[in-house]
Amino acid sequence: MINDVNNKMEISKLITKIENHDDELSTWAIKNIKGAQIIGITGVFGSGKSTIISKLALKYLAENKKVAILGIDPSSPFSGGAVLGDRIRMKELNKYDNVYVRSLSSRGKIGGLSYFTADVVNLFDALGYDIIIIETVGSGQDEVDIYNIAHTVVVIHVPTLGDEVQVIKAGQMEIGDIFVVNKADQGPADEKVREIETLITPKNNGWSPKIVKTVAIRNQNIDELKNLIDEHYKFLKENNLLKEKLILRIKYLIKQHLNYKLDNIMNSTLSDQIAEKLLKDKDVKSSVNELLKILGDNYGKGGNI
Amino acid sequence: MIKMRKIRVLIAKPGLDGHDRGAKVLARALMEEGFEVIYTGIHQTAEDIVRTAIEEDVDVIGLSILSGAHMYHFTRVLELMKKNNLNDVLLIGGGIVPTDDKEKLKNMGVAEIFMPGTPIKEISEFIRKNIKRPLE
Repeated sequence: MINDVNNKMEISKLITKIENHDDELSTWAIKNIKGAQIIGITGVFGSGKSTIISKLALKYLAENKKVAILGIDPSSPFSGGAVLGDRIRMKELNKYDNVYVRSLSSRGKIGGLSYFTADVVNLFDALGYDIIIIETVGSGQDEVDIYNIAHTVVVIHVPTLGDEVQVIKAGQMEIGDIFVVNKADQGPADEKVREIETLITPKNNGWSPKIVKTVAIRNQNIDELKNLIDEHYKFLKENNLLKEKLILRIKYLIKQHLNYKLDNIMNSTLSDQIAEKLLKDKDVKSSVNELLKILGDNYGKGGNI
Repeated sequence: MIKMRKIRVLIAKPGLDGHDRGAKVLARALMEEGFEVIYTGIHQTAEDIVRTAIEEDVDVIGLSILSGAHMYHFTRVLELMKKNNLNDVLLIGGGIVPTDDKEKLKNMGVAEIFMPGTPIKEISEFIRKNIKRPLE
């Protein structure tokens, strides 16, 4: 499948392939998973995700690790295009050969990732990258997909945004293994830390989420953040939880492949016909069944829509 | 339904040139045309640009230059593109470039230079017509 794992040009083409849906390559990647450490970084746009990732990557590079970074940005609901700008904050990484940065468009998928992000992660893992850092779409409250892919989820906050009610809401505040209050030099950072502290309870697997204040742009406390990430990974390893995370990732991958196909059908004229029929003489149950049949007919037998 | 892949465009500003309004407007406008635009910000070296083009598997590199150093930057980027076998990547440019230089650059291998005032549609149509890889 691949001749030279160090050839970036070759890797680049493979990512394009897998990002445009390639079952064969996805399968190859899964069969060749070596067990990279996967870190998910999420948080509101402008909170410093890209900057934190850049600084973290430098720390891992210093340990002679190979680092892959996936930066996901939103696609336009109107044109399908995207402006991918995560690299702007990662310029300092251009000096290093052992890091690969790739920008992905969410391509119409909600949840903070793209349909084939899990496949791209598996690909980098199979190619021997040690650390894979995923930057989700700049997110609000509901982008929790990253929980299914990353070993460790880091949720970035900044001081001043929102009152204490924001942190008790469902969604993103529940998936963090580590919380970061970035831009800690701008505003009441300690207050934000206290707000987050009030909500932290040990997770079902026994891990107590941690909090760290950072000023990423000045490299402040990035070492502490990295240590917490590695501590969490070690915790998973020692408690035999890595397998569980892998199963979660593969389940998510299968679900996204299915979602992709279903969305293809829903974006085609077939769905218009079904909607019109439902308005005229059909019922919801038979319409859904009809869609499932279309899904099976087109894909179940190896067809392509 | 025919599956078309997305056209990927790198918009970069090489060298000591902070005038990025045009580059940002173009990045946004090409997004509205349905392209995936990688925008890397100002002060890029030729090495940064070509590395990004490789890692991002782009169809097009678009350089925005208003500093007057266009001959140097295009030459250097073309050199590195050749060295890295980026033969199927389209190189275009925009900014303030004298007509004489424009011809020279086109002879060197730059596909087109778009001057101030060019309608966005003209640029997006040019890209659609001239990209070197199939959209499948």
